[in-house]
Amino acid sequence: MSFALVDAALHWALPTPTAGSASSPKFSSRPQLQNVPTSTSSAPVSSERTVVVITDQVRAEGGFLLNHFIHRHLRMEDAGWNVVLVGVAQMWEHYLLVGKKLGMNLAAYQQKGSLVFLDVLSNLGRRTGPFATDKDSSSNSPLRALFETIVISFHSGSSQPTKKLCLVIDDISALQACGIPLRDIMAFFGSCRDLIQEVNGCLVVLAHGDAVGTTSSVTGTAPLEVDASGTLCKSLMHTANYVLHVCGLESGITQGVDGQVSFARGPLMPEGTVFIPEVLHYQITDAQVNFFKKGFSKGLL
Amino acid sequence: MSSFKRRTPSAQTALPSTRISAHNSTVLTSTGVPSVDELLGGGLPLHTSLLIHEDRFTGYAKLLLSYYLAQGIASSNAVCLATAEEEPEAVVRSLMGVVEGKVPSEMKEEEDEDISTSAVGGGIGGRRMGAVREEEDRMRIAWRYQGLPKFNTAFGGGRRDANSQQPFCNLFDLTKRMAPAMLNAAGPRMALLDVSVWAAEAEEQGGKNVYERLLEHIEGLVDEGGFRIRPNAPPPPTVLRIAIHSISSPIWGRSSTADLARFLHSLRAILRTSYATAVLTLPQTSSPQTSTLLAHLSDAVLRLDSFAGSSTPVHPAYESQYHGFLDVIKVPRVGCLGGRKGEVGMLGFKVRRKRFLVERCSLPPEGEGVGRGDEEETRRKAPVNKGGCGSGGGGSSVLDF
Repeated sequence: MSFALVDAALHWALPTPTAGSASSPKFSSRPQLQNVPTSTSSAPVSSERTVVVITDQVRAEGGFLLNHFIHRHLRMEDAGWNVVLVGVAQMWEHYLLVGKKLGMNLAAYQQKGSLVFLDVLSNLGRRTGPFATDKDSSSNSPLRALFETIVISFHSGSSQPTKKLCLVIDDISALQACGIPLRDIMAFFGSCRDLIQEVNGCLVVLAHGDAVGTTSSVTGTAPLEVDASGTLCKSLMHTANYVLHVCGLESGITQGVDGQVSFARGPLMPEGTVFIPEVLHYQITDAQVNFFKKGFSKGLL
Repeated sequence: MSSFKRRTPSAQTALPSTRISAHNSTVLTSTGVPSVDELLGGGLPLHTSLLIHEDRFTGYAKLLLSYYLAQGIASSNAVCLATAEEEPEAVVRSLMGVVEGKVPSEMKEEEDEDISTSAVGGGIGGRRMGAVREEEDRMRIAWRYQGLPKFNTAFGGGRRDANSQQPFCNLFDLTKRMAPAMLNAAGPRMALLDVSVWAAEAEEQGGKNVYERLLEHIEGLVDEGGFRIRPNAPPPPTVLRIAIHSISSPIWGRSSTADLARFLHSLRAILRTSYATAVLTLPQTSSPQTSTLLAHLSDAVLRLDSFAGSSTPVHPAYESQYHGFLDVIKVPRVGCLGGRKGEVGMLGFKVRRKRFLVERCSLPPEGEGVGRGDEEETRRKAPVNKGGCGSGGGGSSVLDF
């Protein structure tokens, strides 16, 4: 189950006709969904050649949105989509279990080869292994090895003629926290973007933006460390087509709403793309994430 | 054949003193404090870490850590303690005592009576009197409500399963020390690491970083103890609890934020691949940016703010009831989407004579103790120093606003 309202907010085409018809009764069952004027009226956009940057905060984690992008593109595997998931913050088991909750059997996709999981969490910072930090630390960044692995695992997957890559990087900020310099991370990100353009793919990156939205970083009183994580987030956002800010509720706390996702236009969005910035509220339950238009939460109504 | 099939327990249920979450079917372990367990969504899930931001000038975070250790020893888990503040042996020796044969839900009633008598009767021989009063004074609302459960965030965590021998959460008594026999029995399963020695060595010889050394130690424990998850292998007989007290305090030696972040990231990788949980306390000396960064790298984050160490004045009604506020910054979301969020509203913690508990903060009814009326009175009595908002500005005007 991918999140239909997120796709609607991005004006992305629903995964496949079959999946679209499956989710249509859901549309009619929820009255507030019919208040989305543009989702039906305008032509949907495809997710090809897009860069999506998700920023989140400690109190409102954005990791759940990654599942949407993974599942959405796996559903479209007939159209040639392959997913490479880079787990810097979470292990494979996490995605497997969450997928099970949302009704996706990720293990089957992994066996088929349309989903590849790269475990960076347990390999980063080791003296041995694929992403060893100090092989030759001055020239050979672990991220270079990582990028090569991404390319290899993309090409080694199923051999369809028109292959598209959905590259999902879970928590690029954690790379920085582990001491990889900003320059290397941005170079890595740039390579990933080029790869995406080449293969008509989609790049989804999660970064922590606690310092970005606050006024303290604007006034410049913040120490260097803020600037480091804030700079990464800002640099990423500057090269994005879509920016999704996940944060706590603007108006404080209320029952039935866990936080909000603001869908914003990224600087690199092509001219003429159908997109209207908007804000959705969400509530995470055990087996589902419910999205609401602002003020339409069941907890409020 | 009946369509009702008894669910066969998975391999992991064999672990003692754990339980499966009703919400998201993760395996939970107890922190030793039922109310904290409840805030985390039933307990601390296996393979996750909990970071506690320490309170200033007081030791409540250390108390929580002691509960975690004591629970580990009581349920005969393997325990690893790393501290630089004091001798780890001393910490273990001063752990709170276990009340045998009882679980927290059974104790609650009794304990609460204790509290009410000491508050009402001024603490003079309160017990017996209280016991008598209790019978007469119990407020009768309406008979039909008597059967309803009392609303409380402090759910009795330790429901005793009929078939399991060890309770999920033991009952502890802060007035007692842990029995030496129990400590001796736990001896072979304990690893006590004195980080201050390593820090001193690193300072002198310029050798390995303290964090790297600790990480290697933990990894060694996991591998030698057989706590590593291996495919198609039965789980170990027990789980490993890693307690780290006041990480990155000045005694840990010079280190950068990146060192600490890398440590937490690697610790996460170890935890995810082994039958272990970890609780770390972080002193408030670090900058808010650092603590945000570390919060992202931990699975659950709690923050204790004691009133004794708070720089802003606290409402006296809170101060009389609680010892500080507790903030649930992050609940564990590993292997599940999110599950329950913390309670809406402020949470306060207090340390009673025998136990630590967390409750939703509530102000007492007006007119009791320091009510609104009293406050107004004191405000009226106090000399008016600030300039009045009216034209007069003199304190004792006729109208006396």
